[in-house]
Amino acid sequence: MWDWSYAAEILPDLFRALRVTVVATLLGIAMAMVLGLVLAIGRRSRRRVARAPAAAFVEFVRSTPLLVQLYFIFFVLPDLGLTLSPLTAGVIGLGLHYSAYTSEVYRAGIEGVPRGQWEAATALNFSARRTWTSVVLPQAVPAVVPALGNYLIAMFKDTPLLSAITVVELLNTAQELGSQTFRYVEPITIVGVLFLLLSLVSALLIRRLEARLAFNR
Amino acid sequence: MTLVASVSNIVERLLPGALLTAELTVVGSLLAAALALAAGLSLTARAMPVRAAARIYVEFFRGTSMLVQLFWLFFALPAFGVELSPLQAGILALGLNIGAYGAEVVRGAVIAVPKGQAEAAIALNMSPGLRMRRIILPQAVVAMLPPFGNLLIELLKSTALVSLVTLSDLTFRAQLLRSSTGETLEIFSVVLVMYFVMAYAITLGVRGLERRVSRGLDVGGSWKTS
Amino acid sequence: MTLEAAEFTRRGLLKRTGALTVLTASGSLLSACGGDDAKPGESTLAAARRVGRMRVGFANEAPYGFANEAGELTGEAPEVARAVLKELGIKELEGVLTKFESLIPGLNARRFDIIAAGMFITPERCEQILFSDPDYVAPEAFAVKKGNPLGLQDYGSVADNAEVRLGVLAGAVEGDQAKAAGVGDSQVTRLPDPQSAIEGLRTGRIDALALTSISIRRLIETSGRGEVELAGPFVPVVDGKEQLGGGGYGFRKADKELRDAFNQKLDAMKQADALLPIVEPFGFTAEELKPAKQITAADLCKAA
Repeated sequence: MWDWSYAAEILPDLFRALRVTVVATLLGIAMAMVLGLVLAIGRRSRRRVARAPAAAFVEFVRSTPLLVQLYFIFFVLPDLGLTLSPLTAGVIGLGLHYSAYTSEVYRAGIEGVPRGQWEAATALNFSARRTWTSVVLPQAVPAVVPALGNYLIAMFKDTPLLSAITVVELLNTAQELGSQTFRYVEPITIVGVLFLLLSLVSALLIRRLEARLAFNR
Repeated sequence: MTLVASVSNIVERLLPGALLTAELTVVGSLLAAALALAAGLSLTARAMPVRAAARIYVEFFRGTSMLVQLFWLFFALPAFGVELSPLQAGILALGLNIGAYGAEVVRGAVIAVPKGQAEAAIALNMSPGLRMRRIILPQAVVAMLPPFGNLLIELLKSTALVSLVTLSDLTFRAQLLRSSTGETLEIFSVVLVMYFVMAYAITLGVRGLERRVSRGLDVGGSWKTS
Repeated sequence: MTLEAAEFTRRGLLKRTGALTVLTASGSLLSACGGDDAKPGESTLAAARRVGRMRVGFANEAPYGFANEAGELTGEAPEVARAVLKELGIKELEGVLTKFESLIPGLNARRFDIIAAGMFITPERCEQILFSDPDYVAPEAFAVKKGNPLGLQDYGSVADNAEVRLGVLAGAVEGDQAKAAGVGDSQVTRLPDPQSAIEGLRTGRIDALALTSISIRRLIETSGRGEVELAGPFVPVVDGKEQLGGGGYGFRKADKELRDAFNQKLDAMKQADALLPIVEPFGFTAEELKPAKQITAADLCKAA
């Protein structure tokens, strides 16, 4: 039922795939954090032109499956002229999908900044840009780091979906190994354990980051 | 073919898949609700082994990828002698995974019920079972519904994963249709809209339920005013 | 009163949910059983005869085994299987769609009782399941962009040019054949299904797609959109020997009785040339059927 020598044999292949998983996640979360902030600020804009599309985008992305969004980016865009490599398509898919969630997180953080801060900034004649960068964001963002961190962990667990658009990450490699040797137990179980470890390590790192930010404040 | 004709043709061909998606969502969420209740209550139990077992279940299924869980149930389990059909594996994976998240929601809602309620129940000589069933849970349910609504939508979206174990859900049928007609843009656009419609229906349903259940109660949901 | 009504709703909600859950979930879980017809102790063949129906695993790969527009199971392998099984007293086929790489695990997990997907008989696969004798042989071929800009003719030409990206189907033999011919691992992209593969070729994600010449011809016809053409066919050389692939039908190791009965009827039809009219509509010719007459599964199962 479980063959330790086979398990040891496939570890190198799986570790190689682990790198792809980690790279995809880090790039994806970077994109989600930047785009999410843009969306959050856009939703608070006084101009309807910025508010409506941002809100519609967030609502739509949150209500549809990531898998189908990935298929869209990977299969439909080429027909419209844009052919992306599997990894690029995957990172963009993850980034777009999670930006909808991070924008909500940022919104909560921004709304948590006391009104008085905004008023003081206006009184001091700060430009909109300075208000955001010097007053609001430095208070809003550290408060939501834990929530953002949760999405990092969630994104790790969504990377196996990238196997459906042929990215050679952990699950894809496990499948390939399984179909070559017809032994699925070892590859898939090891992959499951690796994800558990990734979750735990990420959770630890986030808690450290949280502590540091709290200390600085 | 005109766009309208083409789109309605696509919808017609995808409808059986949407039905299966709906079925998976309903049955999966019932299983998830049952597990969430069981595990969530266990997390608040006095006995340590009960709490520990529930905690292990929750951390395990929250900490691992649902797709990997699905693949494991479908591909690895047969080696241990248990062969699940794609449908069974799908429902189990959905229920176990979302149930773990739901357990935390249940736990949070139960411990949020004012302590006075439990104390009054004890003063009135109610047994723990009676206390939970008649006093605590009914009040906790109100706080549980909004997050559960979110989890329900997560579940709906997760049903798309079963297409990867060849279950003929909406996403799978979209892929099949694609391989025979090649109308990739139209097909995936229709699919996205269909999921959106289903998610919206769930949101409306949960909101309606929230309103009915919080009628006559002092607590009424969250800080939202509608 | 409002208060009572609301409380009743809450309590009722819990109770109703609980009952509904238990009924529906358990009902669905149980009824979602694989649909295995065999009674305990009954052989697969006897069970199929009794029920008059057999579950067939296929991978939606035209023209070998696929579901047509109406959703019916058809293709070279299912149609031949249909004819053979009819002779054995089994009139109905129930198609079970699986990914190609899941066909063997699926068979062993009893999701279906026969693989009719034109699966090549190879020594590795023979270790996992029993095969019938082959009913066709086919050389390999590439699908390449029109004009064959990279001049690819076989695995050797791919191995010679490290920039060439070759696409293969996950779980199919072409991946191993390429490796044996010296194609680097980084050059090979595994794709989940033929449709994605041909799209990958059209959009430039891969430079060539390797499949049997029959599959390539069919793919170019249905999904090529005039942008791709066939290169080859060629016979892959593995360990210095020419390896013509032969496709057959798969059975579980425990179902030897079924396999032998199937073989008997299949061989009779092969020798009587009764297969050609069945497979011609799918693009097969006598050229692919003739060599198969002399080959048995045992020949192909032997490690080279």
